Amino acid sequence: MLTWKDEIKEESFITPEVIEKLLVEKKNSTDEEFEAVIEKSKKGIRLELDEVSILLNSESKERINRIFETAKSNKERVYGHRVVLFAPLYVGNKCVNNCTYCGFKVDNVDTVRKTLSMDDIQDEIEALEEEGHKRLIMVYGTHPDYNADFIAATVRKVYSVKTGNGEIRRVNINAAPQSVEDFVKIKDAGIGTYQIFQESYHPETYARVHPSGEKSKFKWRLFGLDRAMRAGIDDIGIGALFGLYDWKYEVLGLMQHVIHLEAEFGVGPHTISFPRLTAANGAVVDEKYVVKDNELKRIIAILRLAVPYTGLILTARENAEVRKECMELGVSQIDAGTKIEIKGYSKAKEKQNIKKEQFTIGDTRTLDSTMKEMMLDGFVPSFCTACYRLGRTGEHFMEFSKPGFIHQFCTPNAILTMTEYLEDYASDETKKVGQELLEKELKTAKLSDNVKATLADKIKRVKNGERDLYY
Amino acid sequence: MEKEIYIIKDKLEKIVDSKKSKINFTKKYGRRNETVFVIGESQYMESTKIYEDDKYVVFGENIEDIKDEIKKEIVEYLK
Repeated sequence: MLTWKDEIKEESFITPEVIEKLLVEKKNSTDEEFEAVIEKSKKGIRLELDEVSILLNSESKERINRIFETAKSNKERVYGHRVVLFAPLYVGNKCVNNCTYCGFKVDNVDTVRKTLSMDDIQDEIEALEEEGHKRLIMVYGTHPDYNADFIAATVRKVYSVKTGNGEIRRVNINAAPQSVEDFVKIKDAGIGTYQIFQESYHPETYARVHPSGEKSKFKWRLFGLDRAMRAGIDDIGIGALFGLYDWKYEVLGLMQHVIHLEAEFGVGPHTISFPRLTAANGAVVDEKYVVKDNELKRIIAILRLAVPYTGLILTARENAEVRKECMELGVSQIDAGTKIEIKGYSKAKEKQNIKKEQFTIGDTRTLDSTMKEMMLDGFVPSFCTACYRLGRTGEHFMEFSKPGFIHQFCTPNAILTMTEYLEDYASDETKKVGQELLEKELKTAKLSDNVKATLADKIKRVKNGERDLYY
Repeated sequence: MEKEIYIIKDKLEKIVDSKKSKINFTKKYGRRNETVFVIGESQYMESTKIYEDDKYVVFGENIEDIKDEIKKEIVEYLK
């Protein structure tokens, strides 16, 4: 069995010289070249590296606005008004790594180390279910205690907890890269997406910010999701931590990763995450690479153009205002009611304790208040988990690129899961806002004829107490 | 020993009109069902559960008139 200590024989698919060269060469693209990229993206075709470089090097106000407008229309065309909601669950913060930007690093001797027991998980899941959550991402530090058997056992535990009408229907994982054999064990527990963020695709920066521990091995991490694919996990998420190196370089690094996965396995990542570096206990931040709000918006919009059908995740590291502004540019998933302190949900503490956390969060709204504000802005919150329960994953998920998919499956499933939330968990005020949105959506949403014929009946069944209905 | 999966796939291909219906033969991994094979194209219709045991779930779109026949073949195959 391969371990992180072994040499990875494959040649890295990240080529810094190609990326750096493109970022210089594509500085003076013509308006015709720029428009050709925009038109290609509008057709829903994944962009090539040189095309993304043209977008990244477009600095004029006019071009940036054009990118934003196209991102908005791509988002509307592919996702409609839907935004998927989830909650992160931090299972343990023991860690052997020494990442300079992270509050969990091994050198942080004042960090309070804690791992959830199975009883703790029970408490946390009950608290999350009582809030109305249906989708989780479980987050683990890199530590021998958090091996594949442990991860699989914790996933099974989560699925076993039911509280009233509450249940977690999809568990995604953010954990260290595994061997193929260990990925198989985790897959067997029935996970959704397995996320591994490369953090930085710039090898020198990567080495500088990951000075020791398992994570110091660039290629072990880079090929982590290849091993996941070989283990049969065809639903994977990539990400970069923006603020460690030049943001334009990192976008091209993400694109090289996408292109590699498509070439190797015939399917790209299900999601891309782009967290920005925020304060953490003992974190070292290089001011030169701090990503400004307007740059974050450009990152999101350019990714929306580059990979029209890949989910984009914006986390609660960002404050509510920034999240609102970014949503329409292409974000398809957000976390809500987030608590990143270990045991944070069951204790429901009001103030963050940074000594127990990986970083600071910017959006501290409850799930109910996030839902209300999203719905007031016209977004339809979705807890849908239908695809992975009907075998629509990996390459089969590519049906998603056809217009019928969203009208037949995604929109009605969002409406049904939103109705469940309004019935079971919403405050009176949120319920009122939700009902108004529901009525409006039923009148205006583009739905296929057979959905139109059955959706009203399904909503009625949900209101009468049935749960977990989906298309 | 499990029978080769192509046996049932071949049988179902003879029953299903791939232009009008879709069959998704999936294997259970906890709450996740993963495609083993697909026959036909999505009709963008609601999926019906044709068969389920502790290991497999088979879904179909637009298969009401052939549902029993498909189920019979699957049960026979999994015996």
